[in-house]
Amino acid sequence: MNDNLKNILELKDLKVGFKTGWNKYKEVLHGISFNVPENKIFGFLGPNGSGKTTTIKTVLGLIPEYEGDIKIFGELRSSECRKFIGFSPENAYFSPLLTPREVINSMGNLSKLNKDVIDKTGRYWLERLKLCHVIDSPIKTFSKGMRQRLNIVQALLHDPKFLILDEPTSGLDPLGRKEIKQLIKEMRDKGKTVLISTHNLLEAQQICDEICVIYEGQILTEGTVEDLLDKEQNLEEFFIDKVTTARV
Amino acid sequence: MPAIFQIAYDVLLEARRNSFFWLSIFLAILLVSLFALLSGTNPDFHFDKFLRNGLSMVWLIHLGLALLVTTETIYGEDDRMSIYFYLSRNVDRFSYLLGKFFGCWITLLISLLISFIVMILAGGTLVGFEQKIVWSFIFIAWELSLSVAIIILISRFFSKMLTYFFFGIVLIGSNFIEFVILKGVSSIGFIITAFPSYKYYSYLELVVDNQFSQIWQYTIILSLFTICISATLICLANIKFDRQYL
Repeated sequence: MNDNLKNILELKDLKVGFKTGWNKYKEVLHGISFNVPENKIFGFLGPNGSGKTTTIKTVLGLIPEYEGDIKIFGELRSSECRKFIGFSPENAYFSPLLTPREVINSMGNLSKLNKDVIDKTGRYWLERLKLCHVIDSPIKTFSKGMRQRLNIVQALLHDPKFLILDEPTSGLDPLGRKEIKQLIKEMRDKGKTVLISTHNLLEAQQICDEICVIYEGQILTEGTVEDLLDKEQNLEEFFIDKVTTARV
Repeated sequence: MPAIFQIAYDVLLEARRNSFFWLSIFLAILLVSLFALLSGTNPDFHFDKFLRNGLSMVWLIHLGLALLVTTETIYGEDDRMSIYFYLSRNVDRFSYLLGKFFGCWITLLISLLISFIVMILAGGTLVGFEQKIVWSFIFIAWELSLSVAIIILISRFFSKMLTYFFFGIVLIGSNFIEFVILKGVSSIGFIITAFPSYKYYSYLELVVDNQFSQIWQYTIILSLFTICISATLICLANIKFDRQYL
């Protein structure tokens, strides 16, 4: 990793566990450490249940208790830092009774944007993600892909410096996936940092500058895609190889 | 707009499109109108009966609506995981809970207000304007505030079904205690029921039967009591919520 770059997110020896019953405790993250460098697309990869979402939730404060250090923009985790983060969770949807216009207004107000900015940026992103024609339709009439695109709109609304996207292309058709990948690259080109948690290794290989593989709460490897992969190897082979070795 | 108001406004927006919200308003209006009609046409069905039955129905329907609206907004957000959209922004958990509390309470107040407008109109047609109805409105409004706070507190500890169950226990328990007190020692019972308790419905009965003297003082004490208890319950809910893994 290039040390000259500033790190947007620094995790050091992060441990997180859950109570699984009376006096029972299960550690999910066993002291993971990695850095997300500024102005890069960082792929956070791992099989189901490996601790990707737990890591993201801990960074965002959705999991309050942890051991270790979490530094965002060089400062210890705080609610203030969240002003500059855009988060699109996986499988999370707004109330089916609300409309995109209401969602945009609500999220814009919570991000302390003024009305003009909300209207302007909201409309821009809705148009960009092809949701403008349903701006006043209740979300209950939306397909999974449309709901996912609305998730991404709300994450981009306040022009965050750091985007955290949990499975951003989940539920999207090939055309939608292509648009989102294009959008993520565009964000990087605008100087933003993007952390993507995904199962789709082909996509990760196509768009990520750096990757980090997590397995059973431990980091298996991290680095730039070019450095990690052999010439003939693709990310899927690399990932399977790493995970299989870790299992053995 | 501060986060609390925005979250409360979102609850209101949701409730506006919730069929239960409109159904409860419709039911309350229908029953109040029916009692008014009965009171107007049947000499045995006096105004006090209209008032007692009308208020009972409005109270009961709104208690049910409080349970539905509050559990729907709290558990709905948890199930859809849309709570992440709020809390991943610069919104603290206490503001979130307080926003939900005010949103639910204001939703109920709107429905209650519509029911009472109908009640005042119906009562006005029967005997003219009656102050009793306004006092009853205040008592029901405060009871709903406390109910929402209790449901929010229970919801932070238990599943949706258990929340229904425990709220039912609180409701039946408070009724039972009141019954024992009133039937056991009537003179002491009256004094005890005059003190603020969860069971504000007692005040409606006292108002209807004209047993309530110094109503202003009681209302002020009751209001302060409700604000303190509701705030305490929300704070207790937040202590649990603050440690909760989402």
